[in-house]
Amino acid sequence: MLFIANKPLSIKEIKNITGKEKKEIKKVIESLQSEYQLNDRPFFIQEVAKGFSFATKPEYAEWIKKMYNNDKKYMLSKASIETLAIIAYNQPITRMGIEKIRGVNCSSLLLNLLKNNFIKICGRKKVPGNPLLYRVTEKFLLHFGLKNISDLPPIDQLGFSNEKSQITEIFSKTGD
Amino acid sequence: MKKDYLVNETIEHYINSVQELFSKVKNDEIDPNKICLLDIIEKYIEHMVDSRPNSVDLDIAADFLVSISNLILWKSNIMLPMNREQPEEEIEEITNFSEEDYWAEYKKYHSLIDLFEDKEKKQQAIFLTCLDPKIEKDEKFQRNDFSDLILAIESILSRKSDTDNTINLKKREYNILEKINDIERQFEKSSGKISFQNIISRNYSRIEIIVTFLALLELICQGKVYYSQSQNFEDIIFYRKDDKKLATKRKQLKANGKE
Repeated sequence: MLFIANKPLSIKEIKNITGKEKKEIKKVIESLQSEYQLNDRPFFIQEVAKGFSFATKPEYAEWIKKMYNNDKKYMLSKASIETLAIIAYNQPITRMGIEKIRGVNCSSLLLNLLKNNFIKICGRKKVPGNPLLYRVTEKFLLHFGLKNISDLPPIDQLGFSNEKSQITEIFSKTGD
Repeated sequence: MKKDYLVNETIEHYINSVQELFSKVKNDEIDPNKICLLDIIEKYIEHMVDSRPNSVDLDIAADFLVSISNLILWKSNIMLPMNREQPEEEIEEITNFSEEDYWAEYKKYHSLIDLFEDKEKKQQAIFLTCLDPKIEKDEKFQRNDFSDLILAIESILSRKSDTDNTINLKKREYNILEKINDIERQFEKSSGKISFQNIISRNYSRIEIIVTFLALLELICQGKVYYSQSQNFEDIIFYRKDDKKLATKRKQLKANGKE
């Protein structure tokens, strides 16, 4: 199933298909992971984007890149990463909210991120003007190899003040 | 509440130089609550009454009036209820804090770039079986959600605006023929004579005024209407030609009858 799936499969999805218990599925996956590690296989099962998927080991990356003519992977610009970080930590957030933190216009950036499925529109804020709300997608999690959005380190533990800043509080209240 | 009082010596001292008194009040050297303005004014009036009118220096009198007015204003402002707005210093502190907070907030996310880049680099070396380029492309086609629709319509509209040269025409609300008929009806009501103000000064819209004016020009061109102005800037009067002929005929008939 993990070989064929076109997206990382979650335990719930596997449970729905196989009818097995969640604990049992977890155990099987863990045993497979340890087995591949012990036998030094060129692949492993990675927990990413709320699911599990087969992945190749980083040591073989050069060969695979050559196979795909370096088309498969691409790096994001710093501005895009900054915008994605703001969305990921404050989602759902409006364009105005992002622009208030970044201090610059983000329209074209957001369009590009939307175009490349890194973010999605998840509704409209019930404030005058009904601005669109954005949140990150599973592709964002896949791109950065994150299991879940909660996999991100808490922003307060990054060497800044423990108190939630006024702006974040304002944004969480107003969505702007 | 403190009562106004003033030591006589103080009045004697400052009575001739109220300006100096005002400057001292401004500089907080004297408490304005301890100055009795009524006493100062009464003494000034006494002085004015006692002295001969011709001997009063008007400049000095005017200076006194300005200074005493300023003092009254100053004292009355003090008596007003306290302003509950925050002091300027506190406001400055808040704005400074807010700016710092904004910078701290921005720096937080800016510093995350390194973290994300690190994760991105690590993930670059890992290839997932589920992320085959072909499959990914197919997936894109399958997952046409709300954002895809918005992007699609935006791109269509942007292209449309470049190529679309059509102009939306509005239906004409007024036409000249109707206005000509309307003016003729007005001529009939007002026995063939209307002022320009009467024709135009109704609650007409800008377009309606233009159409009415064109209708008038058309009537003039057709020779049905002529106009006259008795003086510069006077109202222009429009006459219907037939009526004038009729009027002259009537006048002639009347004159003949009288004779």
